[in-house]
Amino acid sequence: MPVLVAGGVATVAGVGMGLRKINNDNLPKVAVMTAAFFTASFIHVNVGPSTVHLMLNGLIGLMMGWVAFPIVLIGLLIQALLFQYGGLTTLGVNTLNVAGPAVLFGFIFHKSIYSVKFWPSTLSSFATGFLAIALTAFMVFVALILTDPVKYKVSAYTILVSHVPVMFIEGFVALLCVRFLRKVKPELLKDPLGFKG
Amino acid sequence: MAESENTASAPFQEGAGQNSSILARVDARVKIVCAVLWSLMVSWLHGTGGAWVALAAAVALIALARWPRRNLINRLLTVNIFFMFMWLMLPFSFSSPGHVVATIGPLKVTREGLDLATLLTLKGNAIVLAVLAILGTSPLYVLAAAGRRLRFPEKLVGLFLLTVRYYQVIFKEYQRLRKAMRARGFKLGLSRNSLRGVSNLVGSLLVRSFDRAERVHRAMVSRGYMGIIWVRAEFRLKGIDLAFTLVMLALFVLVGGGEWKR
Repeated sequence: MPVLVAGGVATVAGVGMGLRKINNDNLPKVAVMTAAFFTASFIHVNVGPSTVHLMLNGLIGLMMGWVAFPIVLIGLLIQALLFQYGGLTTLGVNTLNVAGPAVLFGFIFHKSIYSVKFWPSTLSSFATGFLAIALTAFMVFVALILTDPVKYKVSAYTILVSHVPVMFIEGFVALLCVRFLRKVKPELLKDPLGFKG
Repeated sequence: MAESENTASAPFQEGAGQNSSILARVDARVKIVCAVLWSLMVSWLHGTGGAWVALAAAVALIALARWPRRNLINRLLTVNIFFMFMWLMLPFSFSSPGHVVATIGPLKVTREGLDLATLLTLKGNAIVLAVLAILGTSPLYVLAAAGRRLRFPEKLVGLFLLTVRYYQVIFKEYQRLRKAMRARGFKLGLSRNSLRGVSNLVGSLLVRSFDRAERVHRAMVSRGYMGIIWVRAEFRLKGIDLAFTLVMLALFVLVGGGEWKR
């Protein structure tokens, strides 16, 4: 329970930061992009016998900065209401776990993905996708361990290990997506909705 | 490789529970408050006694909502696949302090583990069923309007309303892109080419959505958009809302009683 409360408080703060960047002018655009990220999260990739769906939180962080918090919150809320994944009580922690790493690595790497040199841009765009999922999985792990170190030990480690292939997939998808966008519509990676202005 | 994402990517299934049931006529503000309180209370439960009562109450609510059976079964399957993983892990999770009930090879099944898996499954289903019965019987835009009345941040309400609206548009766009890829023989998998295809798909989706976002914004401004997404929904508390609140209170007491007696 303290974990849920702490996650909720952090999420309220993050969403507050994000909402400050949203004004009447860019709100419709943010909504359309939220819908786009939400749709993209339905894309499944087969990994051996099972499938994983994309989260793209690295990309969301790169393009949206703090606004990742409201975007993820809305996405998870719609999921909870319509598909019954997750739930209302875990909304706070889940939003923090997905949006927190997005904001962090988006902030760290948003300049270096634009490097003209091959390796810096390749490595940093891969790292955005890879590390964002890695940190999300690690935060879920910590949340479970903090909730009850004995009961959820096996589940926590399973989540951590099972996300390793996901990290690589998200890393490659982030890398290839950034390359695609740099070729097709570079301004989409440079603060497209004017959050910093 | 199977194209599994076809089945997983169902668009909004809004409307499945929107009929003329009694629950559909309850004020959405009351519903939001009750659904949140219910979720909080049930996730708080520690004993299977209270959780069984909660599940029974949730089943009663979903019956009251006259939710279509087929749709309900599909939803419950999705939820319980998640709990199936819990059943695969939790029974083996208490190695040192548990009462061992059975051993499978090197793994020990403990009573505590089984109890916890049961408890989580009961609670999860009780929350899903009740929230479905309470919130699923109102259209999303009415829930958003009710959220606005409950003083949720205005920007968040607007974002929610427009996201729900444009998700349906973007999803069609996505289906078009997918169809084009399939026509060219694209298969999803873990190969280099496949990941490139997926990335280009995501990239195109973002580019197209961004262009659409600009057009949407211009169209809205030219129709007098000033920052508030208006929704036609009236809210007036009636007798039925009082009745619903009393029923929910009674359920809270029953569940609490079940928890107490364990």
